[in-house]
Amino acid sequence: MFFLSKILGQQVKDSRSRSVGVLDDIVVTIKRKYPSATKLVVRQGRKKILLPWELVRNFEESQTLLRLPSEQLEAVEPGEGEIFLAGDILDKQIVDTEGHKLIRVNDLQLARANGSLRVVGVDISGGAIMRRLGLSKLAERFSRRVEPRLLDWKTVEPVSGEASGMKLQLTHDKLALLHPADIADIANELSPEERVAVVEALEDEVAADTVEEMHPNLQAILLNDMDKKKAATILSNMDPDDAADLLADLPEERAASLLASMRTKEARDVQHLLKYEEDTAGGVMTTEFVAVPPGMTAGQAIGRLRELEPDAETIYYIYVVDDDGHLAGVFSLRDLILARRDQKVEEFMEHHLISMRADASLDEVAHVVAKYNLLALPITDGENVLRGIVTVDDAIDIILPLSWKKRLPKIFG
Amino acid sequence: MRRLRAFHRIGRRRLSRLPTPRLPRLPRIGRTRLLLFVSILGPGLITANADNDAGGIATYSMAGGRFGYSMLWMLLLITFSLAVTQEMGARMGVVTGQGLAALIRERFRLKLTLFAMAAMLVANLGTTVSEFSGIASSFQLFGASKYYTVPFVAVFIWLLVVRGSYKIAERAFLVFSSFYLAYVVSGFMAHPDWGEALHSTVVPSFEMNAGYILLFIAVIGTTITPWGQFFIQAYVVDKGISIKHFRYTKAEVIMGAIITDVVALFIIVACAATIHTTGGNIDSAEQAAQALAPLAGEWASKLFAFGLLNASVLAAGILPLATAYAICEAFGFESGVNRSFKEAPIFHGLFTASIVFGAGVALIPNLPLLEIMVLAQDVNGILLPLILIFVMIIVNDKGIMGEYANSRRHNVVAGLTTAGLIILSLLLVVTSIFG
Repeated sequence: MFFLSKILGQQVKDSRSRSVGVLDDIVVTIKRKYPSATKLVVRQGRKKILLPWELVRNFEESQTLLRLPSEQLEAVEPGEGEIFLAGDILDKQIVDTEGHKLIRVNDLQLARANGSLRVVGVDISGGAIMRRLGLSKLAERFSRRVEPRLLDWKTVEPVSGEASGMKLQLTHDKLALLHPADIADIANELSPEERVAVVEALEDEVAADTVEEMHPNLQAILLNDMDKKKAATILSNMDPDDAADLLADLPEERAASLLASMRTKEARDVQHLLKYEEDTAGGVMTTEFVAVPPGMTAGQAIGRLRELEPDAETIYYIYVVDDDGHLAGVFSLRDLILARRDQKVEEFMEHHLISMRADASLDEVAHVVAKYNLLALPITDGENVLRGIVTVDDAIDIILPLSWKKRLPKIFG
Repeated sequence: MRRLRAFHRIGRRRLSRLPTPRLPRLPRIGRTRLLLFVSILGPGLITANADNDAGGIATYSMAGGRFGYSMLWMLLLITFSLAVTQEMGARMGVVTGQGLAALIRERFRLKLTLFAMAAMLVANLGTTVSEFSGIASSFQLFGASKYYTVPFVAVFIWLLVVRGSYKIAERAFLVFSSFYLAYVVSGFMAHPDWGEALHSTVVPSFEMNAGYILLFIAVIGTTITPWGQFFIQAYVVDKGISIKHFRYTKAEVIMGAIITDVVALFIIVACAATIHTTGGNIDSAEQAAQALAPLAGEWASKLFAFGLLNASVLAAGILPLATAYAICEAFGFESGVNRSFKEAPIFHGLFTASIVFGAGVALIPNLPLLEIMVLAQDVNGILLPLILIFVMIIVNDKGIMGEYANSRRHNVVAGLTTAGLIILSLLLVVTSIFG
């Protein structure tokens, strides 16, 4: 086992034991679970050359011996999918996928495996800092346990790399497995460029969920900087109410051009929502709801649900609307399951339902949802036409944001 | 996959909608402009206000009281330097989304980072001492012993921050900052010699003695500070301001710099017109308070004490926090007041130790509190060039800043500030030895 900080700066010697230079960096391929060394960077005075790892005959903590005499050494270029350990990883931030956060790499642990050198762990401890400052002895005297706090490499993922002069195209396989809310927390901490790279690499649905969970200011920045096509796809996959909020925060031109590139149906929903003021029922409602005509049977209604695959927050209430979209009644998922297959929905639906106008204030909405213990509240226009619903989670946001704000980690913001 | 996520969604938390201030009804998209400006307000103005802290009041008072209007010309230059250095910090925050400590770590590696952090730590501890000295002074003016009040306030600030209610308190402090208006009014009521004041503002003068240079450095060091550089960058990063809206932040930073220095100008003028012209001494807060006498008469010292206390407490909370955040950011330790002591021991340790140190020094018997406040600003002024050099290298690095790297104008102003401070520090050494 070696620590990267210990081996950098050590002598590199050729087959005749003449000094070639000092070890400046190690290039690895990140395609493996544990990245293995492919090249070494040797510093000769001010010049740096890249040599293939195959030239290494013997690798020790104190020195590196090469197979060939220095005259026969030929420099190479970095290849695809390769990163520089000192240049791209050491001292930088990487994602800890188990702790769901960004960590700063204080040192890297390497191990010899089948003739190659592999990165096995990341040291994030204060002890690593002491070691690099040459103060290990001192640190040991003060505290008994300066054991390195090592994270297994297979649980971490670099977010960016460009030591080779070009932006690395990293895949974020490990990151993509996290819950979108956790990815969003990490994305909030990244630089604008890294954020774009990370979100663009995610699958469309995951990307949309991640964006929804991000800090609202950052959502707008992200979608503004992002590739237009990808941004439009993400918007199409977001909840229409969240997408509308986001678009309202973008510069008008950008918002219009994104809206134009969105999928037609979603664009229509969002455009419709944009008409409402942000602090009214219309501003927080979503157009994702399930509505059926009064003449439909319970069996058909269940079929419709299977077809639509609605989200969890919208499946519990099914609304009944007439041919002109007027709200006529509502029934719950429970009512539907208990009904006979051939029973018409108008027979078991609730006629006396609570609804609100789109221009109602948020306080009224929250009040009604809380008072009647609703999972969703239908929102209508002046003519009693069903326009959308406010789901309970959005209603909670109306009441809770203040107390949430107190708990936010930010002090300066 | 879809179904799995749908399941997740039931209980997920949504932070996506923070409350927006109620505004008159405007079409939704058009309204965002205005909202935007309101929502990104803050960094420049808050830093500006925190800049005029206990050390600021003490230093400006002493500058006016000892040397009359003669240092006013420098304020003009400082305003430029402050605006430029703060703009650089804000720009680095917007472009990189990282704090200054993180950028230093990534650009300069571990050893130089340690050096930069050590410089910042010393400067910040000095400033923290000065804040607690301000608290001690103001209570003495109210007639209360510092031995009871300082520990009490230290615990109060600690609790305020750890319990996370600091943000609310911060607003109150900012409102109370309107106290500075008292200096503006008092400055006018003291009937200063405006002709001489104007003359001193545009015609530079200088004295070649250690006392003058010491105060000179302190005036710069209290206005442009190492912690101010870390603070504005962190603030901008936290606010999530985009480069597209950076011009608003820039305008605000310039506004903040002007406000800071207008306040400084009136403190100096008020002190020059009262303390300096009557030939009074200025060795204590009691004497410094006399600058407010034209406005407040016999209540001058109480008014002064109130302002000093407010300014000190505001900054006494921010400084230890900024110190702990920056160091943890640089070395990758867990940080945040919302983490427990067990989760983030170094963060809490640094934060608590800073407060204990600041309060502890202020409790030393017979400490010349006003002098200490000014001296701390000298420490800041002497260490500032170090931090500015780091800042300038990073902000000129195209690999980090891309097209937003420094322009030549920025470099000239920031470079002159850095060079000026280094020369002043050298002059201070020379005059202290040979003067």
